[in-house]
Amino acid sequence: MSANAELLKTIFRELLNFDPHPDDLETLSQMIDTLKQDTARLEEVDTTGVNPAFLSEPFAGPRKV
Amino acid sequence: MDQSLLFAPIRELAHKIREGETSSLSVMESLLERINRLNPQVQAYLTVSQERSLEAAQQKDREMRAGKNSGPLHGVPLALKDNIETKGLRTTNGAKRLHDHIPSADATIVKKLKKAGAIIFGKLNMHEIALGGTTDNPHYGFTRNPWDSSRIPGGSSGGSASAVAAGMCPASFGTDTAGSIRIPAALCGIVGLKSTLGRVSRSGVFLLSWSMDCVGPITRTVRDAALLLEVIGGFDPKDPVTSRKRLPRYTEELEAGIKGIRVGVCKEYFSDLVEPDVHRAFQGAMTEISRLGIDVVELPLNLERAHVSAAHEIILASEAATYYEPHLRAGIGDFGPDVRLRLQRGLAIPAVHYLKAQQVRTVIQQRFRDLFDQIDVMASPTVAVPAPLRGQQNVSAGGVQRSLREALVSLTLPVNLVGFPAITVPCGFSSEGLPLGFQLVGRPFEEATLLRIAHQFESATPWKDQRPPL
Repeated sequence: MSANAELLKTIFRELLNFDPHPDDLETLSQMIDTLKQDTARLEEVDTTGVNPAFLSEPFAGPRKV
Repeated sequence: MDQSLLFAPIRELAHKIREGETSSLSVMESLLERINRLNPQVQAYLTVSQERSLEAAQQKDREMRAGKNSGPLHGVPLALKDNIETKGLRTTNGAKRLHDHIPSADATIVKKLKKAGAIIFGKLNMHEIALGGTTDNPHYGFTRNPWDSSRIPGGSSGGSASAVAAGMCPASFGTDTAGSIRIPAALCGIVGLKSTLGRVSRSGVFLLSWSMDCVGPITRTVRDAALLLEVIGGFDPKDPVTSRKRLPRYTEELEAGIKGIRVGVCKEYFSDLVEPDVHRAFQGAMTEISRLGIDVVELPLNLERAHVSAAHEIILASEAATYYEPHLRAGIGDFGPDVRLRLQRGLAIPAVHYLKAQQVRTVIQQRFRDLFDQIDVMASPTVAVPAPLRGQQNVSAGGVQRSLREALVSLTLPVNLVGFPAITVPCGFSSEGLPLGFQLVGRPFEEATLLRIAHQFESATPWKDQRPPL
């Protein structure tokens, strides 16, 4: 098992009290990398002062805090 | 029964049953005969309630003879995606652990359909828990595209679209979180309507994403989609997302004028993504709607696809993982590999990233609102490619190898992210004879405008009358 997969297993166990499926650890660690890429793309968008969407009624319109 | 009725719109079926030109029993018998003959090949149905549906059809005929017409769908057989709960009729959600699940109550939309006179006789295959676009279900089999059995029907509501296209069901229902109604409808050459978030209740429907899931009809004609939305739409105290806004009589507005409506095409958002056949069919559709008197204008959307898909994926993965966490803990081995991986990945998303994605969503929704200050409706191809082959992991789209997921959902998922309504309508065929569709997106709760344009386009073109070679 790669170091990344080992780390992932530990994080899941310690943080979520959850054991990932043993067949998935390597693929999952690669998928976490794509998640990081997704997150990095989101950081490119300026959301200063923007409320998260859809946490109350839909179509109430965008709200600034 | 006249076999052409197997492909008749539900409005026509209901009319013939009402006028005594055919009976509900005759329609049901013909349908069951076709399903028994074709389903081993197409694999659209997971459950068909044969005896019970024949009894229900006889009962509807007795009621009609006694002058009791229960509504616009009296005696019309309909089938549902298998994530919509049906009292006494197995509902698997495409999941192994629900193989024997018999719900004790109907979903709200099922109650409404029954009240309107429909007979709910069957349940349709889907991608496992609706998390995927191929309808290649590891537990219940692969639903085939009726136009080419080596190809996927799309998904996740693949059984719903395949059955309607194959004449195995007059109309059906699906759910749409990233395009799961519109994608299979487009790839199978029929109509699919995703209404505004909040227009249709999800109570009694297995969810994937609380903030994006919508239920909607999959039909052969736009008029049928309008009729079914009239039946299932409206406020439901059991789904707090549903709106109290008035439910229009969509069918009565179909012939209203469309001249002067402004349709926007944001070419820069999709032109590098779509295959040439798809682009050609879409251009043809825009020419046709211009001919109908609509102003077609090009304008920028000012969004990056990568931002849209990242926000959508993080929200979907987080919400799906939350919803299915108890199932993962109870039996992780019960999920197929693709779904299992995506759910586990969702568990690893920190709350701060989920909320950042929701903030980005607000920004994207504002861009859409700005766009709709200039136009009434947005148009684009529905899917970037014609139906891919089963097992394809990558497809050529816009001359570039892309993941299957990117090719399938890139044009539909932005609409789920903003919650606006959208409809897909057939607009031609690829050089290989595969159906293609285009989508119209409207302002929140303006489904009537979409239905009007789609209906008048459909009436002016030959695509709705094409049949798959079965």
